Amino acid sequence: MTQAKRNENASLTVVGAGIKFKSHLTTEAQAYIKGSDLVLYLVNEPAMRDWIIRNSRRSESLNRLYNAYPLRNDCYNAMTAYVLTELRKDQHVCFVLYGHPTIVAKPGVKAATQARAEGFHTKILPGISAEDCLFADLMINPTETGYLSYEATDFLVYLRILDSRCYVVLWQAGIIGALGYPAQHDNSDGISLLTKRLMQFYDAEHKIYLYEAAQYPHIEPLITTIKLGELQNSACSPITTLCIPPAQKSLPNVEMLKALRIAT
Amino acid sequence: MNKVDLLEQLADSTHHSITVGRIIKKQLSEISSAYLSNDNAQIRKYLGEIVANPSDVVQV
Repeated sequence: MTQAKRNENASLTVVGAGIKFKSHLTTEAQAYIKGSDLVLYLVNEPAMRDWIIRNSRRSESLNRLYNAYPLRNDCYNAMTAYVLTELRKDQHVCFVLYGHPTIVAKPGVKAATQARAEGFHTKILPGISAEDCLFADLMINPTETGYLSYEATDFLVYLRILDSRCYVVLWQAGIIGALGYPAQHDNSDGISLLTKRLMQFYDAEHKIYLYEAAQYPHIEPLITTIKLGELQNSACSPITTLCIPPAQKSLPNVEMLKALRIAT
Repeated sequence: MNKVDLLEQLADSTHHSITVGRIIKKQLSEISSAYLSNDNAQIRKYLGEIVANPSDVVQV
């Protein structure tokens, strides 16, 4: 296979800034922010923005594109197009997104996929996600029971499979059905539909967590325990993640245990 | 000292270095009660007021 000749003067590195200011910024992410010709960023709190400006050669927020069109998907496409336009100017571009850069973040993956298709040196560096923080703060080992992780709107629209023996994580429960700017979204219908759907699998008394990771060092995460039946009347912010513990015990399949020679 | 520098110092401190943490937290609390509110939204709002161009940040 012939490898396309790479332009050594241009590259795209997509990095995650994590959730907690500076504490979650990995050493490699910092290196790319400091060492790139241009840093494009989409962050959700002012201190990280300030840090990027002070630690980069040149930087630009893409938040203006986040508000540029009525549909969020069009905004993401505009961001992707802008990242590629800058990359084609023969420069090393770093694109910073809050959290993990491929989780609930379309423009990072789209830009990286397109950049690689065009022959540019392209990398995505992981960041700490809200889900990572959730497992740590709630002291959950998700591999003990397995877990399912869905974006809340996606979960409803595609009637995703749910296994109540597992932990279930639902992202963006505070902006269900929001196609436009999340901060202006009325979530009442969405949260009501989500509650109704979940009650097909769980009892109304089943305890669930509303979780918001700490965004700043030395503050505590926001963890609210409620009954599922109370969900539709609960306040969820756009960064609230829902965590549903297992409702049933997992029972092993005896035939499989035998086949694996774990049991006789 | 810049307030974001203070936050950066907090990020570099552990709860073991309680004296350092206390000093920085005290400095922040003298400027605003937002930090001690333990509320992401309050701190974001406060920081948005003290740094330039808060519109560069996604509102959540």
